Amino acid sequence: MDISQDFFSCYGLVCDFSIDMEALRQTHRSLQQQHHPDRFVSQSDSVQRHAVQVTAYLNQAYATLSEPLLRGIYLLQLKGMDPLAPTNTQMPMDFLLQQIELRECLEDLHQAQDPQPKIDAMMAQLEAQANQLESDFAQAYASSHLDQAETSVRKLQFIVKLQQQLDALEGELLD
Amino acid sequence: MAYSEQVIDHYENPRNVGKMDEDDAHVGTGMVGAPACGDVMRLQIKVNDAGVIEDAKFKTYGCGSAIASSSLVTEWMKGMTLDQAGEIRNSNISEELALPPVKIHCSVLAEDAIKAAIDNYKSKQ
Repeated sequence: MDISQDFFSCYGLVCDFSIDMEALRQTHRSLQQQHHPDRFVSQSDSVQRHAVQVTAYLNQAYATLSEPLLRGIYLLQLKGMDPLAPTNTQMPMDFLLQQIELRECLEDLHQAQDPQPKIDAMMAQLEAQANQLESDFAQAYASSHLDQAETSVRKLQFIVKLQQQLDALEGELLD
Repeated sequence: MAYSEQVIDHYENPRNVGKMDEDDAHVGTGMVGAPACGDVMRLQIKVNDAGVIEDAKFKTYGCGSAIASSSLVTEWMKGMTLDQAGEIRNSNISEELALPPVKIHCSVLAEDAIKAAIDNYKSKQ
């Protein structure tokens, strides 16, 4: 198996944001079995090494394609872009204002009396925003408006970070 | 990864955390974000009629290095002219805080926040 090909090709998928998740899952499982290092223990070192490399490649490919955020970033990287470049700190002002507000809300949740309904509401809000950004990305990418696609995926990165922080907070409060 | 003592000090005792009135003509507000880590930084300066920064405030949602970078620059900027503040480079910040290479982007964020605050102030004059 050629591990220099892009992740979409290795699963026989079209290089696009919308993918058939079930097909991805099934192809991944069969490729994983086919190239599992345990099947090559009696063979030469180079064959064994290749099986390990293929397995690592498949794990990375699957992790990348199965997450919308990572899939979007990867699609732009294939176009030679670097959406998460650390030197690019410009984001739309209204988006940053909203981000600061959301993070203030998150901070307040630590001291909230009955935080669960507020956590649920914020989760629902973030989920809706993430869905919107994913569909914005899909549309922009499909019509080759790559700058717009990049803005959407950059925004999505902030939303996903907030979702992770909210998950962590919920875990803390449950303990 | 271990944080330097300077980072820990600014993180545990951040200077100048707060918010100024954005609508005040003497106040410049800079907001920037780092998608790589999802950090958000708001930096504000209050400039007197002589063009000197009298006060600076920040609020940063991010890691220790991002908080320390913004805390440090608010201390530095007080008493500086706008031109002097505009000359602060991320390398000055990362050197002072001994930031490791993976955290350099935090100092880039702080430098860009300074520029954004200065631009915002100038646009109001």
